Amino acid sequence: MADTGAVLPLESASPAPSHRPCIALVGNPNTGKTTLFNRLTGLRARTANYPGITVDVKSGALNLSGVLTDVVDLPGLYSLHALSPEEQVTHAALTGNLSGHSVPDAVVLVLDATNLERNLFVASEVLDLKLPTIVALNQIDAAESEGITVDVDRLRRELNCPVVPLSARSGAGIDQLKQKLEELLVRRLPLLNLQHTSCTAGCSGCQFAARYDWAHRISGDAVTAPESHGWRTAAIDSVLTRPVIGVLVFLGLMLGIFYLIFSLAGIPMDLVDGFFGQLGEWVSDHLPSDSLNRPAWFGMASSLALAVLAMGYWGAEIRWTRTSAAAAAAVSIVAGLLPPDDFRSLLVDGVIGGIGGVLIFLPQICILFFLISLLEDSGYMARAAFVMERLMRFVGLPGKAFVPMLSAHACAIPGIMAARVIESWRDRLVTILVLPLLTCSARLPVYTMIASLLFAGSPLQAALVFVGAYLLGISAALGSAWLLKKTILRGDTVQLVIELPAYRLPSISNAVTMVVDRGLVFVRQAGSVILLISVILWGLATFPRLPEDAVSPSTQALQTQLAALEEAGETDNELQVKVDHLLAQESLSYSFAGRVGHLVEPIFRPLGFDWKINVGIITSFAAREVVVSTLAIVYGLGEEAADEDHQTLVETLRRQKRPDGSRVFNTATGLSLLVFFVLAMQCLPTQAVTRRETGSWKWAALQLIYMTGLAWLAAFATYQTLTAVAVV
Amino acid sequence: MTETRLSSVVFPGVFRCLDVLSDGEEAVRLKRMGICCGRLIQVVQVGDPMVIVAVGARVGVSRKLANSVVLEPVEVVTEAGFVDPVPVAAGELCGAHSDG
Repeated sequence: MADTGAVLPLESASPAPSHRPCIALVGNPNTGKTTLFNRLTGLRARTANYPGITVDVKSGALNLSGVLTDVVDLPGLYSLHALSPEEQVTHAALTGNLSGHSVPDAVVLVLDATNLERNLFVASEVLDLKLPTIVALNQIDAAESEGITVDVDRLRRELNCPVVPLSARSGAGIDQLKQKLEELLVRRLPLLNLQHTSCTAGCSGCQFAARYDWAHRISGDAVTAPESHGWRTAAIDSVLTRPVIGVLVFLGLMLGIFYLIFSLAGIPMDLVDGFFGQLGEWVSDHLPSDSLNRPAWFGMASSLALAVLAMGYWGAEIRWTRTSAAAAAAVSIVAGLLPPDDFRSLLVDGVIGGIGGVLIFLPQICILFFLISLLEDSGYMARAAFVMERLMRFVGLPGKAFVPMLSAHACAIPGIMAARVIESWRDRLVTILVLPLLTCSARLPVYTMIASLLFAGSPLQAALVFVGAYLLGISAALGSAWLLKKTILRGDTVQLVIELPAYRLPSISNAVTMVVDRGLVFVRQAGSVILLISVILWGLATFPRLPEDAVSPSTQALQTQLAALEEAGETDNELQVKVDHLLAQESLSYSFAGRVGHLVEPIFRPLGFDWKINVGIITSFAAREVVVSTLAIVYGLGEEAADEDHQTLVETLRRQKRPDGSRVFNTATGLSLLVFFVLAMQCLPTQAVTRRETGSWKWAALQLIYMTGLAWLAAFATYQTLTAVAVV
Repeated sequence: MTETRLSSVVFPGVFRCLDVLSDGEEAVRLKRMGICCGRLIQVVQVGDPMVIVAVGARVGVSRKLANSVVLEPVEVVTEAGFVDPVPVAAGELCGAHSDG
């Protein structure tokens, strides 16, 4: 890069004084860019998404002598020849082509001092943009400890821009970087020479080779490294990248991660569950039981509804416009006009129950992200993708798809989010579409119920049910991926070229930041789309209310008996509970959900399901495990039986008869139901996250349709085959 | 020196990249990782995928992609077994391989 010697006045490239100056952090992956971002912004970051597909770009504020600036942590890239969606965002941000953003006022080019030559390739491209640039020579402490010395003055002269050696991890050199940024953006000192000649100028051959020649020359002049540099990484890789040992180590690590998730998440999950249970009880107890003072009740109920809606708007990032405010006001007024019992049920069962039922998985998700972040930061995840490449290629997916697939065995949501590591958009989309087929922890209560129902006396057969369900999920996911790559998402698998970065100690603070970011995304989803759908499902399962004259004669007789006892001053708790359960059963049957259950009987009858099971399928659309509590209600045991008296629920289900006297839950129906729940897309949070990650409801709809179709066909085949061979 | 393909390398060793024969995104993905004309490439693990060292970093490459990389063996291994980073400038080497 030739030095022309001319120094342009900075004003020519300076930002307009009317807006907050923007500093873009850019550099190769694994250069410690995010650690530097956290140092500069003090972890007070917000995450922005850009249209099309989701690419998270974190931004935060940096105060430079009283002047607030925006610091943007752009996704790492290997070249401005952008290939992945993340690289395209970085390229667009640097060239001013990102919607709503102008070119950055300053670029902090983060280079890894432990491997300067490789980083200088991107540096040459970024410097060619002629933006005001400061080089942050990161990991200078690591370089020194490895015996690498960098002649910073020489580098500064070669690059024609300020070079600040620093360690984002320890904080050394951060003040100097801030000082340079202040001189550039606040004091507007002429630091930079913006008139230089690209190293590719006049080059008629390979531009990449020209840039690497330049990088090699600069690195050779400015860097002295011992010959033993990199021996530690080479030694570890001699084990971890081996075809067999590498795979075994990877599977062992994943086993350890899952052990930690299931052993550590239990207590916080119980706490979340308990919190929402207590909250529901508290709200139920403190809401007035009647609306004697109608105006006061209306004011309270509509205010509460408005507060919940405001939370939903925050979650969905809906701005308060005239239309959205009018919609919120209309919904709040309707909620305020509801009878007290219905309003209580809406708040407790619909809102608190709906959000609580989803947030219970937050601890698992946070632990998974924390551990994956540590592995990523250590440099190991690239090895995992490397060793799994060959196996995954059989189904047309890259090795990088294996980590999201493993994550999905805890919960599909972190798996879908983790699919961002896959460069190719097509491969990423295929992975997202098939991930929900893998057995997540929400399916386990359903598997447990069916295994107990069918093989209570045989632990081996019950265990085989679990193994079979897991294998079915894995086979369906891999098979579907293969089919999608052969049909609607046709295309060759992107061949592996992956940097295997040097191993290093992972950063706990980076992992915590990632957990907060991803956890917040999940909470926002729970507070918006999922809340809306939970309320809709609550409405379907609650309305129309069962009128007194529609209560069955047998229940009416018990009610009369109970009333007579009460008149005589006696109580019969057992009878009261029985009446409550029967009324709940009949209410559900009378509701829209119950009617739909009857309506869809012709569709599900070939699968061996009656209308009661259909109601379970409808209400569990929000979350799979809800089918257990729904079956408890619909068979007259009450919702609490699903948690407290599992054995009674199983026994009750086992006794159920069809009109012809045959058992409802015979082996064929039980296995058909199991297969249906292994393959069906019964999880609205996953659908919401699919929409978010793909940027379109189209792909979420495709996921729903193909999985439901697959589940129906497989359950149909199971039931009909077993019935034909007389396994009932 | 005889030309060979990266995918055909059977034993670890040091090579110089003469050309990348693929087009489009695949070529860009290789070249931006430093697998381009004139660069020294140390093969440290053969197989599919294989591990090489290019421009000071370890890189995993699938065999299919490695098949598009034309190499010639060189004898510049230091006592410690690492590549002596003295690649020939692209301009001197790549006249016959204008695409890199």
